[in-house]
Amino acid sequence: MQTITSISGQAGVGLRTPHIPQILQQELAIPWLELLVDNWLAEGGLTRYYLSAIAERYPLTLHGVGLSLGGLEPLDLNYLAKIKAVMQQAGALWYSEHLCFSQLASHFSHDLLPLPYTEEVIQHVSERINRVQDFMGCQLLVENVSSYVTYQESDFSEGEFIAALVANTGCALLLDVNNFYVNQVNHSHDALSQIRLLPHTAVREIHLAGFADKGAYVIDAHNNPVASKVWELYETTLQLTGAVATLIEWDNDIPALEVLLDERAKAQCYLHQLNKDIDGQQQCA
Amino acid sequence: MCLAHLHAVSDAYQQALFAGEIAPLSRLIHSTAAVSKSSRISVYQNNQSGTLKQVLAAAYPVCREIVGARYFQQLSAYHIKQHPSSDRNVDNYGDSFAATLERLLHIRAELDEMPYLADMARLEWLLHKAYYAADRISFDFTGFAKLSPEQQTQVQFRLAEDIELMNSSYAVCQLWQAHQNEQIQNDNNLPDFSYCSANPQYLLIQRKQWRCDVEIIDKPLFQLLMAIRQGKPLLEFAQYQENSSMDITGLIHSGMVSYVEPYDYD
Repeated sequence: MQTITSISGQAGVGLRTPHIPQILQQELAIPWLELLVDNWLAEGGLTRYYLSAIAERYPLTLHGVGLSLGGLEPLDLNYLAKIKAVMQQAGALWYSEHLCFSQLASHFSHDLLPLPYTEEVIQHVSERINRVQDFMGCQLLVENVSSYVTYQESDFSEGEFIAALVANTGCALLLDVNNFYVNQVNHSHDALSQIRLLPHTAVREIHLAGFADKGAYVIDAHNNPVASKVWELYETTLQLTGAVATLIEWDNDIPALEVLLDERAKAQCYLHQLNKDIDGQQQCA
Repeated sequence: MCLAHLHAVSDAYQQALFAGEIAPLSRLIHSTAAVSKSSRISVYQNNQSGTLKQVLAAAYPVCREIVGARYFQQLSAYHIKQHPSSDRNVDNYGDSFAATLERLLHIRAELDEMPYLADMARLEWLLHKAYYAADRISFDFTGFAKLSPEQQTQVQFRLAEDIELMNSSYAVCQLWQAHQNEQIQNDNNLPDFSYCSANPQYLLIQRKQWRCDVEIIDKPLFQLLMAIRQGKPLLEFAQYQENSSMDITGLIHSGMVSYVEPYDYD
């Protein structure tokens, strides 16, 4: 097992299946990897073997998509128990989930549906975050989601909503810069204004990804390099949060690992610039 | 906390995603001049169906090759409408796809020449299950040896989690194996599998060295494995073992019978 306990200031990549053999066969200078935990819940077989092999070589974090953290149905403790087991087996540094819902009564959308931002929903989600943290025995990182709709009943902005949850629960944040940018385009909200509303000391991780441009709106497709506007927003965000761990996500039209690592190197460049305070001396993106 | 609005939002998504009815959700959301409400909702509709189509394509690669990618998309879209996902883990979606194909075989002319398609889907789903199944547990020979002869006849044997069984009137085993061979496919040398055999195939699916495979087994062995799966006691195995290519001892040594149910003999 890796002995590195902090990945702060380090850029990592989200590990996807096509890259696993290369990750295991080569000595790659990747400070850390993030696993989509829902893909690693198998009880046996190659998945279990890979999990052990990867955990021996790289520090890991776990990222979930299936909890339905803001949903109306009871939290699935069996699912959380499986995640807890993977977390222990992999020695994962933390577990993050999305601030959304995906369960709809007895069915699942398998998509990250945005929540209405109301006082009632703040109380509801706060209770559920507390229950997850109690069950897991650790701080949960919650991630802001990209969205294509906003609700007429919402009383708070996204930034205010998230800040209230952190205040109520003491949870940490996974700040997805691309998601804030996607929402800016789709809803004409100023992304940086929303990011400024967050409690920056709670941000433990940042996500970066590419979107698909549909003209009048953009889709958070994770199928492209990080856009230049998102790099700009990331650079400004780092001034607020400090050099927190940053991850490159790429889930569709997955490129060669080298392409992903080039993106990672850009993020690392921004993190180094911040640490060394050599603003403007190097062009990262 | 009544969460009336969140309930309304949740109900509206159910209507939009599973019934194609967007009016309830439209009433709850904002629109802009640039992007209509229906365009916004369609992103979620497309995401939901797109994800499940990808999952079906990954779970049923041979069915997809047989019918072609475009027609497989149509079959998938039909199935997704009939069967929204009811499992939190998207990898578990698609277990009833064979039943959908079974029904469509009788009403879609395009499938007339593929009467084996539902059985192929059944086989592919069992291979999918076997891939993710729990690892085998070694048979507890020491513990078994400590039991009295009478106790040994009463224990319940268990099949390893990765073992699946099915029978088919079609040569789906050979068809599946042919589709693993790119050369045969490229040469378009696939034999005709559309005939219904008078003697059904008995198939054993299992995971070996991380990979899942299927093989044809004799009927007595199939019956023996079924008897073990059903939890029948050792004494009932005799009727199948006599003509089976493998007996319970052979199954234990091959790792297929992985452990003995722990009974309290005190």
